Amino acid sequence: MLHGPLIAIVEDDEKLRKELVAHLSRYEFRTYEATNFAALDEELTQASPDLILLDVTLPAFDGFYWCRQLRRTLTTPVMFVTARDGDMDQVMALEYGADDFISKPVHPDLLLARIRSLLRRTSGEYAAGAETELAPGVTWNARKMQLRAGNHSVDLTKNENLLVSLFLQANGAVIRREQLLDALWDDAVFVDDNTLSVNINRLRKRLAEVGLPNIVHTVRGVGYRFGEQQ
Amino acid sequence: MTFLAYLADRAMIIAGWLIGTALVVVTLAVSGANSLANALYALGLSVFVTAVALGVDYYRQRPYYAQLARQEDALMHPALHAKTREQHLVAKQLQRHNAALHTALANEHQLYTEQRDLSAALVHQMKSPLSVIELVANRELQAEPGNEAWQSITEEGRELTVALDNLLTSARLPGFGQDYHAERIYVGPFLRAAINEEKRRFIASGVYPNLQVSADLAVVSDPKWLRVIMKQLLGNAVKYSPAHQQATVFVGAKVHGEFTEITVRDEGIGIPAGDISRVFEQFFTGENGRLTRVSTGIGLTLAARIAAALEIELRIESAGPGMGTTATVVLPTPNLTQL
Repeated sequence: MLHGPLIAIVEDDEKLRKELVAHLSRYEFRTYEATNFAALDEELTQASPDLILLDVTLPAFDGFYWCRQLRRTLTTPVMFVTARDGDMDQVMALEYGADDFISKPVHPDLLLARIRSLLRRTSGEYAAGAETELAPGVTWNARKMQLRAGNHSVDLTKNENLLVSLFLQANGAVIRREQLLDALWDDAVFVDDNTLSVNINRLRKRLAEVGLPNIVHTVRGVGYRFGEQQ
Repeated sequence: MTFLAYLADRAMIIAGWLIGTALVVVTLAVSGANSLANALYALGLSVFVTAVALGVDYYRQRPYYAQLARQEDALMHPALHAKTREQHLVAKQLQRHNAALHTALANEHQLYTEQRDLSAALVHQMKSPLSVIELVANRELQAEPGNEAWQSITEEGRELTVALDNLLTSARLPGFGQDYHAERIYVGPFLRAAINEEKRRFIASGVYPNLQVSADLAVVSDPKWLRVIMKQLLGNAVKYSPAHQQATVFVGAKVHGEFTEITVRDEGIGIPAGDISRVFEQFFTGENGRLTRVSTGIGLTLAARIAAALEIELRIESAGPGMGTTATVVLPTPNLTQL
């Protein structure tokens, strides 16, 4: 995906910055490394990213300062990445105009989920009701939670819909069971291994109904993969 | 100090004076210069004047004795009521001693504060490398799912995160007094949030939570610190449950009159009877420490210290090895006036 959302990464620890770039680039995101710590506002205005990941401890001025500066001209969503986890820091982050914060150590899956959810909230990714093609003649509508093949449509539950979205984001790569459990685990409903297996099997049935019986593959002891039979 | 005690302290002087005066009286009586009656009269006068002088002296020093008798801060200002030269001398020495202790204490406290802040700063510094480790391991796992080396690095990274969080928690403990705010906590949402916070540990171990709480249950405590206790108890329940065998951690709460008990029960390795009384001891890992390599002897000590500061009861029970463990936190139920 060449035209995915552009994420600006402001992090003075070079190693962590490179890892964040590598991590995000493997998914639907493009990245921009902002390193002019003396004039971040100018650099970021020029880069015009879709979301800014902002470290709190930076040389010269801290992240709070820059967030306030940015907020004078930009409405780009800002997510703080902070090693401090005191309530006060989180309050400060939000007061200075941040939209979300994530604490170090950054958990890779959590970071992805938070970035996606923030982008969805701010730019309404699913708002247009766009349809994604799963296979020739088979489409998925994320907002309607529906699969469609010609005139035949199949409704998906929230979990089934979420699974489709995760499989598409993985782009054919294997998703570990842990990652799927992590995503399905709702704040209100805890999931276990059985719940995941049940959901996967139900999704397989739904997909079979639109003519894709063998698109979700089990990778033994690891997880699942979405794609053509190998 | 009573007047009697005051007199007792001066027994030698009084005795010397009495004997001296008696000798004078006897000498006078024997020499016959005067009548015995006159001699006794002189003795009586002398006794009277001396008694008055002693009374006045005692009265003069009474504030000082009263100060000495006080339960608290008796020697905070030792020179305040000092009257005699001796008292002033003692006061001066005490002041010198106090000042020295005070300086030593202040130095100690500063050292301690610096050390604590340094630990906190170092912990924060360690979080960036830890992020890198997690991201690298995740990247490699993505490329090669099921690779045991990277899987194991991911798990170790999580253990490190837990240890660092414990270190931060312990660094914050002493400032407890100002940091403690009891309020009404709704147990259901509170426990749900606590479990959600440990989501990754549950999933990584393949152990699953089961929460049973009636909707309207509430307790009174400090939510932030109670959360730290719950984190420890849930973490232990996951840690000592068999991994990837569909084990469950049962979390629940029940009212017993004035008190509400929150329980975390696991189906894990349990605790031998001989070890159970020592689980709160710092660095105690017991039999389970030898069997598994995950015990640190720190988590429950921290939890117990917080529980003591919050004045709540924390109990750990187990029917023995292999029989699981139940941790119970006993909290006050809010009464109707505490709405």
